[in-house]
Amino acid sequence: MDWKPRLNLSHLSGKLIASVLLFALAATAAVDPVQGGDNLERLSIVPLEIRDIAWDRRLYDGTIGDAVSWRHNPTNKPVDVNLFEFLTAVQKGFAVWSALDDFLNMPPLIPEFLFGGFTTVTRAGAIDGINAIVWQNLGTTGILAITPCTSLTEPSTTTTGPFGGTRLPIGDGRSIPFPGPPGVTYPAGTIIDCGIAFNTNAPWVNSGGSAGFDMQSVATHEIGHLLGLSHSTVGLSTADSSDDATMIPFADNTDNLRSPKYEDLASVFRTYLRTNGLERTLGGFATIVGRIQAGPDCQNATGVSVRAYEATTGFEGSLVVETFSGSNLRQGLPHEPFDGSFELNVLPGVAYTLATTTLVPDLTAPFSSFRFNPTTIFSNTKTEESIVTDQLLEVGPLSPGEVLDVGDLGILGCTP
Amino acid sequence: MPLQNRILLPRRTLIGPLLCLVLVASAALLPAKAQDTRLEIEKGVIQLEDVVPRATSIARGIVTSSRTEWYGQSIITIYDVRIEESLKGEPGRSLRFLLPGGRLGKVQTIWPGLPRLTSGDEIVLFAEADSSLPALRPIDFIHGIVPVRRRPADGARVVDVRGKAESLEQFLNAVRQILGRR
Repeated sequence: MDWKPRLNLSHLSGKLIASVLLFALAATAAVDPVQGGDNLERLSIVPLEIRDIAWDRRLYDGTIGDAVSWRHNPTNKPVDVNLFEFLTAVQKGFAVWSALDDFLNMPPLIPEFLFGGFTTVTRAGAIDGINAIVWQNLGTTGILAITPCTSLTEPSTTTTGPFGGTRLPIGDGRSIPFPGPPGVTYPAGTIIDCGIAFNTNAPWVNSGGSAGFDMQSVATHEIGHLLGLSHSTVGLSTADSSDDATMIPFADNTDNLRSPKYEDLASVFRTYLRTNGLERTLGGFATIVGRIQAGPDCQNATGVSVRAYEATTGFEGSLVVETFSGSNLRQGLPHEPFDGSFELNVLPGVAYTLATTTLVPDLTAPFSSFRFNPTTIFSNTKTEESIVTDQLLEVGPLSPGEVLDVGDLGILGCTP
Repeated sequence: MPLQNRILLPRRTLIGPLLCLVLVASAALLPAKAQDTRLEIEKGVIQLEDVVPRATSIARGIVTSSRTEWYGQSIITIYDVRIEESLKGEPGRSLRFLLPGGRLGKVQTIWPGLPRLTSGDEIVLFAEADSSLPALRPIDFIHGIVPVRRRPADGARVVDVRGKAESLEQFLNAVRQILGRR
């Protein structure tokens, strides 16, 4: 059994892979631009506050632990799903993400997860310190799986429980079992408990091309959420799903989501570089930063999909990186927590076209929770009739470690 | 490095219609079949023929308040809604429903796909009673809440959960039609 497959990057050309590896150890300038918004930022439950959520690297980089564990409750598993095949599919889903940083030649950046055995936990959303993967009846209307995640909203320090063991206070006098020793403080945004619920009623298969949904593809997508990633729209406008980002919110009867695409790699790197205070260009990437403004009066535009794509492989091709305009810097400003800035980590040596997709054209509408939901986080595939894509400019090729500030970019009638 | 070849291109692609095609195609298929379709992984497809009969309460209303509570080891958010129009169930002035997730203590739980509502949001709610819960439960949680939005062009109220944007009235008529058949 192969529990730790290497990443399949067959969708990337050998030349481009080589360029990444070649520049992987290149010295990079320590440029730290504004924190641009992207599809990794998640709006917290409290409106007007947004932050990345991610696992604390110390739990898996050898500082206080080598891996985080997940467990499985096979109760309610469909009879036609083989338990061993399911466990293998899930572990491969974890492994393919964690392998993305192997070329860095440093302690893991992306979380390492290992199977920790079985559990009797039945609720994926329970905050119990167990990352439980369970089977639940999620109805018969096509929901395949869902991944609730709990993160800290303020720092918390582990303690020793009354019966020994490490516990993490979560407020209101509650605490949960937590890995690592007591006395470790975890910052706000730290993911502390996730679960994945697979729908018992869905037709599951263990391959692509047959009459069902591939377990490993859906598991890999859900594990992306478990790592802190939101949805991507890369691949959405084409029927061919071969280049779909793993984090596209749709699955079909192929196994195309099994292999993270360049967009997924860039997204998970962006999150874990940023939350660990590391240079965004680590690994030889280059970075494009800028700000989107919209409308005749050039208001800062939030939640706009900004993507860089390589011309010959195309808008939905294998060399696409997407983000969403916004910014952590906007916290506390009434009704406008974002300033429309963005940050894209791209491959060096490649010329890109920058394009925006305006997902919700009503950029000047009064604040509403619906305004956020359809953009940066959940429903970025909404079928708004006036969704449009603008090709804004061509940039590059960039050098390894280069940070290119393209300044203000106007859409929907704005000329900065 | 200075910007190279800064070219403003007013080119636009019609992604919207393509998305509609994808979703309409999805909606036309039964969930038990995966062939030749894309299904929204965490949402599936809302099917009024399924949701309407299952709901014990269907109403259009405005969210007036919310609060979070512990429910065992989970966090739930309870919403109060002022009913503007009741389509099924006991007519009243208000109702209360819950969604999993929310912020409480030092933590927050996010369920991808579930909306987080604030006061003033208008919704159509399809809910069922669950004696084990402190409030009504939207059908499949995600399929029981239909956000109502204002279309930017003309301010018309629209919903967008069946593969394409449609007027609120058109959507409600579809609900009434199903109710009338039963």
